[in-house]
Amino acid sequence: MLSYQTKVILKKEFSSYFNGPIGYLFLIIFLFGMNYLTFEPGSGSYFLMRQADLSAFFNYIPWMYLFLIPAVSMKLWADEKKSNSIELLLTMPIKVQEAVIGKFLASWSFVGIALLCSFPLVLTTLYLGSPDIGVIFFGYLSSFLLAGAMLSIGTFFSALTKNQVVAFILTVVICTLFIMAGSPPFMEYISTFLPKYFIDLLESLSVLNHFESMGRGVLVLSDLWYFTLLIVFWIVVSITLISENKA
Amino acid sequence: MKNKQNENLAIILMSILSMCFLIYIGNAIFQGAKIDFTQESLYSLSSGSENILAKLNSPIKLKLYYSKTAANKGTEGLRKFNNYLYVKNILKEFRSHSHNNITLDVIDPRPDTDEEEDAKVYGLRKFNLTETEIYYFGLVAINESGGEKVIEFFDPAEKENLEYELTKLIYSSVNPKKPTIGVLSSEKVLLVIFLPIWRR
Repeated sequence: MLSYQTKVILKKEFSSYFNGPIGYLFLIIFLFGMNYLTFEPGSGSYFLMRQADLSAFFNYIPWMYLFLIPAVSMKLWADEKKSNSIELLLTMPIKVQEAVIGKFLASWSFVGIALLCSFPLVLTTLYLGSPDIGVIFFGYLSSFLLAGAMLSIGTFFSALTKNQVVAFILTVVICTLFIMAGSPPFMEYISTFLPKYFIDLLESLSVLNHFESMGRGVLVLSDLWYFTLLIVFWIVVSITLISENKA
Repeated sequence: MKNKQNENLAIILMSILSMCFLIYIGNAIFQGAKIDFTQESLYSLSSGSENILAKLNSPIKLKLYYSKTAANKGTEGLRKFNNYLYVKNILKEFRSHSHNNITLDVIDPRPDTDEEEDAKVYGLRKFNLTETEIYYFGLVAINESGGEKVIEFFDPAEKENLEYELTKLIYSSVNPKKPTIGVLSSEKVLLVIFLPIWRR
């Protein structure tokens, strides 16, 4: 399905996470942070819920992603541009879209591995009770798709600028907008002066709504459509941007 | 160079707009296409409920009273175990099967507002959380002719019966039961038409 060139880029980019400390740092912070938030003796703690499910875990995923995903995606293109290795890369017999897709898939599979590493939580839940496997599976699937959506946004901003910090900040801002779009306080505020179809539009753009709707174990076509469209769109825009700059 | 940059900007802006539009359209079209993967089909209605909803021929207005603000100030247990999201999802499911006959309003009755006054009039059960905050979590169904049916309070322990309760509520508000009246009198009552006005 993937071309040979894409696979090469994917492999190279994926292993680059583990060549330096970044990959290990990300894994440790992600797993430690997620487990802390899940068991933390405060609001929505795993044990306080007294239910054999992972909702305590999945509720925090978008907020954890908000700061960690841009860190994964920021170096994808900004680094190449800064060190000018992008010139070299694009003179190779390789199409721009192959490079963009390869890099994106590498970062996506890296986050996927980070998610898989949280498997002890599933085992704990299986030991403590009899959870609904379908719900857990869809929780993971929606987390994975959410990661893809945010990474594709990150890819775009990384392609936009040379500076990794700028890419990081812009990605955080746009991801926050997508997350906050459907949150109740925000919606209540804007519903005082904006027409209803505009509110509906914003609500349909909200990441959180789709993430939660999928995470409760129901596969709605509109959620799949949303995530697919978001990923495809940002990737296509990144490809346009990079090939324009190259020419 | 400048021209080219403007062109790029235009392309990006156009694609952002078209993305929003496509997502919006897709959301509206694909909303109904769903598969429930939960073990007990938690978010699907039984065929009985679906039949009743399919036969609806007059509009029903559902008002869900949930004191969200009060609940957020309340205890952890109240927020986590009140089933609000589940009730709301199930009500949305009812709405989507009703051929647009059901409208759903979610109302957060704040103290000293008209909404709270309404909630009191409907007879929803109230819980005083603090001196000022009162917690309501109930449902009112209003049919075409203004008849009201009320679920005073959604008990978190009765999650299994929720769908039955809701279907019963909707069925009974569309098909109001006519009360049987008997008149006992030594007079020949049927000759006298008894209107309430005459009682004054």
